[in-house]
Amino acid sequence: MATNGQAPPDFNPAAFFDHPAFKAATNAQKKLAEQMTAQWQQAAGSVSPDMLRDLGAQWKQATERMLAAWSEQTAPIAQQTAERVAERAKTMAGVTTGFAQAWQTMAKSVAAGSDLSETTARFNEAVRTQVETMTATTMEAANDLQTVAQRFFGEMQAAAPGTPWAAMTMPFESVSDWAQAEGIEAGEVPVAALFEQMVGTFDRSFGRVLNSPGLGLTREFNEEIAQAIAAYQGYLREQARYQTLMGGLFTTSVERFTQALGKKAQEGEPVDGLRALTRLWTAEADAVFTDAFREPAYIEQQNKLVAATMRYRKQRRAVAELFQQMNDQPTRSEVDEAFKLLHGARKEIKALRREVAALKKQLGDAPAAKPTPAPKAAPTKPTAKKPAPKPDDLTAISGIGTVRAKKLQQAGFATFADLAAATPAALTPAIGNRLFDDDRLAEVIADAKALV
Amino acid sequence: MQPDFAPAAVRELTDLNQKLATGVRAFQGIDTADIQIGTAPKEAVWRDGRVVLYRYTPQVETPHPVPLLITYALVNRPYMVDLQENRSLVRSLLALGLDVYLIDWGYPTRADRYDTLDDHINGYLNDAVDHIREASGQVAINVLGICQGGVFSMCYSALHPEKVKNLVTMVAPIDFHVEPTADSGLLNAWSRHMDADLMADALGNVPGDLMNFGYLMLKPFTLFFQKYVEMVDVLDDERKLLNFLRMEKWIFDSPDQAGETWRSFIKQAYRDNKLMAGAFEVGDDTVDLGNLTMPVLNVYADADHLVPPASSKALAGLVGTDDYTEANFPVGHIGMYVSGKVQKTLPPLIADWLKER
Repeated sequence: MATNGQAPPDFNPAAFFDHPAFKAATNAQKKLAEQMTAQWQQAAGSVSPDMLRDLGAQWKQATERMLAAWSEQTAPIAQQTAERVAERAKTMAGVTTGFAQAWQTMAKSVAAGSDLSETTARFNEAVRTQVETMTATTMEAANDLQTVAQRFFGEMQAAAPGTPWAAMTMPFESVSDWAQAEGIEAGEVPVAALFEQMVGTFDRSFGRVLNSPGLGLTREFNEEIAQAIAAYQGYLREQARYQTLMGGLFTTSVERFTQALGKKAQEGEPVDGLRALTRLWTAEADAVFTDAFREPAYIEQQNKLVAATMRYRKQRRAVAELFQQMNDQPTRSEVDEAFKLLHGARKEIKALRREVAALKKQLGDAPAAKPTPAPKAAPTKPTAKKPAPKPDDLTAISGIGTVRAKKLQQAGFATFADLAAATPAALTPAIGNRLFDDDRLAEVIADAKALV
Repeated sequence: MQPDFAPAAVRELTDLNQKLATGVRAFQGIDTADIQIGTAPKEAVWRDGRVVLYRYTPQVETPHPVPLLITYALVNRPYMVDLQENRSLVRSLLALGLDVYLIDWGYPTRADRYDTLDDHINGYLNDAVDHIREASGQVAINVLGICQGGVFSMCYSALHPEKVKNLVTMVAPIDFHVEPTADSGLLNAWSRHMDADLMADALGNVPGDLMNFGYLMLKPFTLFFQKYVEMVDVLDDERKLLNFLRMEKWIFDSPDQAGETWRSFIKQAYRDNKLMAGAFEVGDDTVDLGNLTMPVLNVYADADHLVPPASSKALAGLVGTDDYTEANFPVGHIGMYVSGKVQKTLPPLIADWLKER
């Protein structure tokens, strides 16, 4: 049973690259380009010296002519695309209706004595054909739309030399050229190929524009944006692979579901209603999905998708923070730094509160009579006893509060002299962190020296 | 014999439409205020920021002198233990004469992002325990930890054994590397190889919705689809509908997870299984479950798909006490609190066990 998202083994995507409808669409688009170019030349040629004097009216006329030519030529393509999309929707509806009717038909057929595996195979074959047609139509529609956009940008470039639109057109004539160039083999899931095509186009067009110098104020800015684009593409890729996996699981669920239906009919207990149908579907589908969910390949892809999403999110934030800094606004990172300081401050206050409460009890100010031991000023550690009071109050050093003072004491630095003789490396295990790096620790040591 | 589909289908569709119509009316008549969870009377007796300690109003003249503190997980609201009047572990324990407290972890905001395991266990939990000890005059109190709250309670009790008289753990995971089966442990498999550092760095706090989505994906068709198909059948029964809506409210009321706590928990528990190795770190301390020298009652669910029974039972080999008891029920992770049958036998089991000690 296929659980790794691979297409059924006998499906050949190269077949629809050779599809006559697809080839006709490609030729129609080539014709469109030729006709549009001719229209442009005609429009340009009809500009007389008199017209040049009234540039506004000329521009308006030329644009109107172009638009008329464009819509006249585009309409058939647009219609074709719309028809393809409608065909796809119809196929989807057919697949859904087919499922709904299937259980009835299959149950009857099996009850009447046909072979279960044969009946199931016929049904699965019908489903597979419909899904293939649907995928092929989707590819064709996507390619139409893409080529129309390509031609548009191409014509825009021809009309206005010097703009960077040229960089935005895909250099391949057809999807089959692209597929060949990408080395896409027969057997690859077509939906994944479609996603790869989208991502690749984005990469080659927009990515190329962004690599040009002078887009942003600084190289750092350019770099962060380029990385954000890369992170986005990474996210799209992993999303596509994940969705392909899930699509495969869905197909397998349908197979298992139809088998289960047939089996029930065979055992003389056909599904007798909508409730029983949904219960059976849920049971079979959940079994398929949860089995796959345990497999390392699925877990790896899930984790890759999450990681790609997280990387994209981080990179988006980096870009946003550059904008904010340029506009003198606070950033998320700065606010988080403030929260970190706040967290540290809260801890110190809590520790202080405990110490004060303990001192109060010692001095006899606490409410009397309950036979309770005084709550400790700090949690007892089974591995290290709370140390006896030390001669020096280390909190006199700037940045050292009661918590850090305690940590230093427990690490063996009890006096200013102890600290003065220490090195940043020696103090790092006790109180070193992002704030207390070597430089900051050196300051602590210097301050301690002054207090000896 | 060929079944006659048409009349049966028509009947079913009519029935369905009728239920849907009633359902629309029922939903219109229900206010969010009607969906109440956690209704047992209680009083906030201590708080620290977003964390609140509640004492439930005792239901007997003289409650059992040693109070019981219930510690729930961070990943959901704790009021599963007091879901509704006839399904409330809390109410049952109160009726059996116990003095029950509950720690409510609140809803972390971005400002709480840097709260650590140490802050939760040696901070909030310890301070709450100290409050109860002082208020009750007891040197040591009873602690009941549920799921991740069970892990916190175990860590706490191992680090402060002198403050814990008896420890009850419920559906608590100890061995996070138990091999997943068809029925349980998928969450472990998914979490084990997650890049928790990348996620915590990118997200700050892990959103409750993301956690929730993960739980639903463990049984995608059942929880996203079938559950609501079956909801149709309770639409015309207001009592059953409210029960269903209460559960839904609790399920989707997921607090965000403080980033540093979540990061550390995923890495130490799910990735490295450090509780089993005696290497689980809380602040500067390392947790040795051999320090659990007080009596321990370990309750687990046979059909628990989130915490495999084997994960809970691993505690047996690690505790330092001879007074170790296990109790199991033929329900799932949440069934423990929702099953009427369990709610009849579980509370007396806990209360008797505590009172004997």
